[in-house]
Amino acid sequence: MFEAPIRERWITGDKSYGQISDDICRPIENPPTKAWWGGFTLSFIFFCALVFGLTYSVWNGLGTWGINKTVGWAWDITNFVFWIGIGHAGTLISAILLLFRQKWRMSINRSAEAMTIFAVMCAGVFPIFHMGRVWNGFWCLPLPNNFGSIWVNFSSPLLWDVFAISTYFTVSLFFWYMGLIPDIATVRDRAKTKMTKFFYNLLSMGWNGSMRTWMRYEIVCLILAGISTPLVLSVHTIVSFDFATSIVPGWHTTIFPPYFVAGAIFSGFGMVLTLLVIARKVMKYEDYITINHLDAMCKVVMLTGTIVGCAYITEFFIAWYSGVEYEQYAFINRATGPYWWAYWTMMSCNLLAPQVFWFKKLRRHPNFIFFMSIIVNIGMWFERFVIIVTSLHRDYLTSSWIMYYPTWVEVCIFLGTFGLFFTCYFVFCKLMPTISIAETKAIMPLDQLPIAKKRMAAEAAHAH
Amino acid sequence: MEHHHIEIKQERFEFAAKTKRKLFMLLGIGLLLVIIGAIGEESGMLTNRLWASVLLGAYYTFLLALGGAVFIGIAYLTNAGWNTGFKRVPEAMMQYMPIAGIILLIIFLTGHGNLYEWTENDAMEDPILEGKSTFLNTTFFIGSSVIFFLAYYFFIRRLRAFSLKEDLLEGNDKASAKIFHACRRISAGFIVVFGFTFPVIAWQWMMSLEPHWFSTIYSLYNFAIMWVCTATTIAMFCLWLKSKGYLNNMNENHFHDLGKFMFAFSIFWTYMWISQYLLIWYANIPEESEYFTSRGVGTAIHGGRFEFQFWLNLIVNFALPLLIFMSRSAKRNPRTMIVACAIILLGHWNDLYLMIMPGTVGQEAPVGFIEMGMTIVFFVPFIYTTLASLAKHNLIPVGHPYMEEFAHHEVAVA
Repeated sequence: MFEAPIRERWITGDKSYGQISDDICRPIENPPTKAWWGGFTLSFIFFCALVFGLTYSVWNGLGTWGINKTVGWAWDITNFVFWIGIGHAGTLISAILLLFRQKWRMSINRSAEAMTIFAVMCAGVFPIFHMGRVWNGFWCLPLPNNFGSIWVNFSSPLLWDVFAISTYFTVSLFFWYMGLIPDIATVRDRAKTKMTKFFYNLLSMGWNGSMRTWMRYEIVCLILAGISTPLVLSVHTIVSFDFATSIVPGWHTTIFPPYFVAGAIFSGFGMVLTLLVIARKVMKYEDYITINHLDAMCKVVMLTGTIVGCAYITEFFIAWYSGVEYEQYAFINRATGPYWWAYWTMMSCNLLAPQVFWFKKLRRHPNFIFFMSIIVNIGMWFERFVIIVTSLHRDYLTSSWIMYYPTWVEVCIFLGTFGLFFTCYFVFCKLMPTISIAETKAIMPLDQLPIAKKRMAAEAAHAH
Repeated sequence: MEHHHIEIKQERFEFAAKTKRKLFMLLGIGLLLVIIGAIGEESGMLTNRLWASVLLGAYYTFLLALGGAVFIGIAYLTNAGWNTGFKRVPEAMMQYMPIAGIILLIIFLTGHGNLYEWTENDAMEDPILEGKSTFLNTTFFIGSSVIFFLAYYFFIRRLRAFSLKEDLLEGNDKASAKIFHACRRISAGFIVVFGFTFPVIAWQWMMSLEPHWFSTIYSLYNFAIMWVCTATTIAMFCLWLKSKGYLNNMNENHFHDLGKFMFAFSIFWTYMWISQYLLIWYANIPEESEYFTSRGVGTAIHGGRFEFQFWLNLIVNFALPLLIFMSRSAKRNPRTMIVACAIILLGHWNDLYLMIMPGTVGQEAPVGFIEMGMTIVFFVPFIYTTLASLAKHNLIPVGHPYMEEFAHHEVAVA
């Protein structure tokens, strides 16, 4: 394949193949650094908060949460959608960008996929514990039972969610692990101690690197990519159906499916940036996750942020245009009602803030990008909060109008999910190659290949 | 990795007199069909059918022309190399945009009484329409459309001018890179302007045909039609040019990618379709579901005039492209490609028909010679303009930084 010289390079630092393996395996082979221990400990403390918050909720009941008869779900579903959204970037990067032949995905897909899996785990916590009696959680599966007429409601999008998300989690996990196998084998082959050799040998499933193994591997990866693409779209589409199929003003709007998907990509990339800006620095991966990568991701953030913003404006306009008073009130109440601050946080973080990425300098400034990624995370959390709480808290009966505030238990659980997320992420960083070794080698710039270097050296010698 | 050298030669398309003659004949056939169709038609119905089919033809070609510009813009922004060699085709298509804009405006100025119910609401007997009158009024309608069309035209002219400059810069990498980056900036501006204005155009020109009804996804639905049909039309022009011996650097690999585009965006269209349909069907709020009941879905007018076409829409625009384009060889075979292209373009004709007719002609609207003929009448000037502007300048953007890459493009077997 010929490549135009104008194209950006995705590996810098004049690497050789051997160096790529060395660089990527370094964090696994060296003992954990102080920074790793610090981060891991902090995350684990938060994770303990999650365990505590959940235990407290189950022990004392959902009365410890701030939900009430009008706002029946708020914090939990907000966090659920927040984490599910974040879980979209991984599959997007590995499957959809693969279909679009975007080479810059190669060095970020592994950690983005890992992030997907951890984010979906965090998301799962909320609906399960919102059921109150978690031990009956399996009731949401269509299992034959002796309970009489208890049976799942197949026409409810909430049930579709159960199917979509469990399928998504399974396929993502599978896809991620498939991609890891050749790299695990690399780690196995480099292993120095018997323990690590045994451990990675077990995980590499007997990978031998033969032609036939690679062929099968590539076919399975392609099939999984093909399955993942509609799957990733369907997940957030169905999440949006949870709201849009209802007749609640502010929820029933046909743009929800694509708009939720765009928002999910937006928030997912926000989180990928949060993680990678730090990871590339701490793990010294600047030659693989280059400034060009950050630049490209910032563009995606800007694009999807603007799409989401365009959807906000569309919704607002059509609410007015529809002539339906309830719809009009719902939107005016969002912007000017008691939760106006949430609405304007959402607007400024999601539509306005990403516009700074029009400036190339800011797209290539890691510290600033990190700051912006936090803004995006905040904005997308508020988007879900605004949609859910402002539509619910003004019921059809004015006597039911109420406010919703989270209790400390809910806050504790939410912060705790960050603990779960980062604990998993730190463990992953330590045990597995965070950049795909095999795939990164495939996009080595042509003039950096050993053969090209040899020839250039020969030509230079000849010229003298 | 070595690559063998592929020669990139400039080509010049010649708009043969024979082709022109054929186009004029086609125009004649279109007009004839309209006249035949008009014979014996009751006069009120005839006026409605004529105006509605005029709008269909004009809006369809407008979408394709504007779509050409969007295609160019997105190609620049995404650093796409696979479509460089045939970029003069969408570029030529977008030359029709100003003409299509003028035609649309003339249609509105002269035919609004037959097409847009809300323009007749001067007495304000309809309180719902009165509530919308800040948006749905002729002054705003015309004013905003003129501004939007002029804005598109501005970007189109700039993109075209820069693109033609590239030809002179073959071999001068620095200068052509400079032009390339200038084009990226223009494209960025264009796509933003397009993204925020196109929804308004869709609401005004299409959604307000049934002014009581509303749907937030409607603008995206229009965009989906535009996007899939643009890729299809580009593929059709390229197939035709190839059959005439042009576009020598283009081969089955490029058609493969165009086929993938048509495949993917047919599914994207379906996604828009199902989002709109399922959500409205599920909630079943009369103000919204009226759109589908008047198209023959639901119990009220079950088995109504449009029911067949309504479900046909899904088969032609989703099921067939899905099945045809599934295989690799289909996308690489010009014969299957041309059939699939025709299916998609006809399918979205049906799609636009269903968007326009029930609100303008009503439940009695037929698919007759008038509708078919009028579409031909509007497609001929579009094709003519495209071919004429192809002939006016070089066909191959030899100075484009991705041209070399285009010539070596290969879609790997996986």
